Amino acid sequence: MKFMLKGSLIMVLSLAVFMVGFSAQQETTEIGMITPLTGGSSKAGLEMKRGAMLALDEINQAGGVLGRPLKIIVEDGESTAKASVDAAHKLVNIDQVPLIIGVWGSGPTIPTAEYTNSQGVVQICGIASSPKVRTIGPYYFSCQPLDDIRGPMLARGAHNLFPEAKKYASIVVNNAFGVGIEKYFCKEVENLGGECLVKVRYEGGKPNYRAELQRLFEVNPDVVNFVAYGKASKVILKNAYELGLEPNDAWVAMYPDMWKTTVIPKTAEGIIGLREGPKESPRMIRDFEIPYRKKYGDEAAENDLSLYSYYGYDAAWMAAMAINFAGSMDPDDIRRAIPNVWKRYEGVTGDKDVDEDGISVRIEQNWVKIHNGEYVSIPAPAEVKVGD
Amino acid sequence: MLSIGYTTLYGMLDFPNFAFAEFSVVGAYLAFLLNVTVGLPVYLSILIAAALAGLIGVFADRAIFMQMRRVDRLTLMITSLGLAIMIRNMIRFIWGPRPRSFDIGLMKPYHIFGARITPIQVVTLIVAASLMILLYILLYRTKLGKAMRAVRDNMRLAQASGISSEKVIMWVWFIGVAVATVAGSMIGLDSQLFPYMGFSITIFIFSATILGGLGHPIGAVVGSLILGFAQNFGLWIDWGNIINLGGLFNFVGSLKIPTGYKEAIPFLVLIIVFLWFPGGIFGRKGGKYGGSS
Repeated sequence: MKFMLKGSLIMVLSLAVFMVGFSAQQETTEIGMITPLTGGSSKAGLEMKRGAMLALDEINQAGGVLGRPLKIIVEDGESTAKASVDAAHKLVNIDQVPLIIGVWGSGPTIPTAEYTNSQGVVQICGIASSPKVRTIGPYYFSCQPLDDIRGPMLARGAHNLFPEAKKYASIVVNNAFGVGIEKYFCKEVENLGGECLVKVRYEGGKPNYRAELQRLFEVNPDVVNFVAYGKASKVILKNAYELGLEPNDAWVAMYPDMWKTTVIPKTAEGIIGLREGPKESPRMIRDFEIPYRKKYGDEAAENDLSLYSYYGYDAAWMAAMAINFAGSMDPDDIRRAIPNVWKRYEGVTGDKDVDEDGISVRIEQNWVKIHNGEYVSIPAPAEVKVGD
Repeated sequence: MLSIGYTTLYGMLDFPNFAFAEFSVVGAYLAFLLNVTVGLPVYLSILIAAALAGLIGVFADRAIFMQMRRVDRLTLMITSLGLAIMIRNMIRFIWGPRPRSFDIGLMKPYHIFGARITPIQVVTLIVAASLMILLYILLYRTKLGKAMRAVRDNMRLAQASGISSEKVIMWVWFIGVAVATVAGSMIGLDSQLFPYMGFSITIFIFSATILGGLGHPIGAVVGSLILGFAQNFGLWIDWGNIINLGGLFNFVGSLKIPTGYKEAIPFLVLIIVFLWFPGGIFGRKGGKYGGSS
């Protein structure tokens, strides 16, 4: 009797769990997102998440995906490759999502995408610009062009702005992103008749960067290529300012969004930056900035409105469109639908298109000069040459 | 400054204290709190923070290390390592992982004989020199200093002579951590504060004090100066010129050490010096602080 009672109880509970699971599955369409919410990249990761959540609201107001509300299961990548891969395992094996958005940084994105590819799960829009992502596999799609497009573009811009400049120097963060930009920037500089006389790769977390700066300015450079993350960039620019070190023409920086809100404005005065995405247009302000401000408040909008929130927003919209275009939750159908989505989607980070490797090949240049801590748009000094 | 505090403590307690540099970070963050949050002038904030951090150091000794005076060095070392990790994470918990800056604004450098030096670096030099003189006077011209040296040389003999070793150790903790706070704050003024700065400081302190001879305050100063100079000289010099014998040959082109290897230079210097001075420059061969017995 006791045994039967126990057996019945287990059966009822199992049925209840199954029903709850079944009904939850029926109620929403689930996809995953891996973004660093703790660790060194947590600010960017949070911005990316906020952008995605804003898009999610809009997607669900517009009717959701496949006739059901969309749900994004967000996992913390902890700014490390290991935690990001662990998160991917969870999303693939437990949540069984067909598509994952993320990760932030080439380091965590590459192993994560290699895993999702091995499992036949689609992964899109990692903030990863290392050319190594090109060979990951058919289930990975990037939303941004890689270093081999952006590095030369930055170099051409600098050359066009300062045609007399011949002596270049470069200071970059010592990781795949920084070294990638350095490599392609300097290669293009040489093609244009200049030379990168000094290449400094800095390590994060140092109390000062005087030694790096002394080395950088030994050659009295005309132009300095600057690729840095927020914390270090604040110290680097402060040290440079306090030591009175500045290039003859200008600093040129890829992605000033990575540090613009962190540095002391006076130390960044006059830096030429290449941002990604279209210049601020009325549409962009209407569709993105005003809703963002409304959802997260003015303070968050002042601090967080950056490239990463734009990418999170675009990624969520593109994921939703891909599933709707595919008409199913099958990863292979979604994968096949993506090139069509990329061609049609007009994003806040610009229009998209992918090549046969799933890599974004369009970049909308947004050249700026920093003045009083704010971006001032300047005409694009470099022509876009996709696939150089 | 940090090396002097560290080596003095080592002389008394005879174990590598991994938590020492973390106290300097605690002190620097207290100074930041008083300066930025409370609004006190920066140098007054550092003075008050030095006293407060000194008391925290004394408390840490009473609460932890005093209970373990008879424990072996390895256990003490591991305890200090655990304490260091705990302090680091407490700082991160209270002030967050974001770097913090004192409210001093930007400064333009002075140009002296072609070198650029910032006003904060000038202040740091003056403060460091003043503190060294004061510590020298304390150690060699006062009764407390005499007691400190006696306890450092032979604790049991000092106790037998009527010196309260615990009282002396308490003072050493207070003075050591207070001095470390000033040093940590100067680093913060020069750059910025972040929770993990203690670790990077620790490596340099250890190298400098070992180079100078463990437990020897003057040795710590000399060790720090040698390592600081070696780091910058090592990066500045073109090794290609040396290999080419000043231009006589052309074996290699310009060859400079990448700045990322700056932290490795102290260890190279350490190895070279140990070939001739196994106990450090001022270490006593075969003695308590010589390390070569």
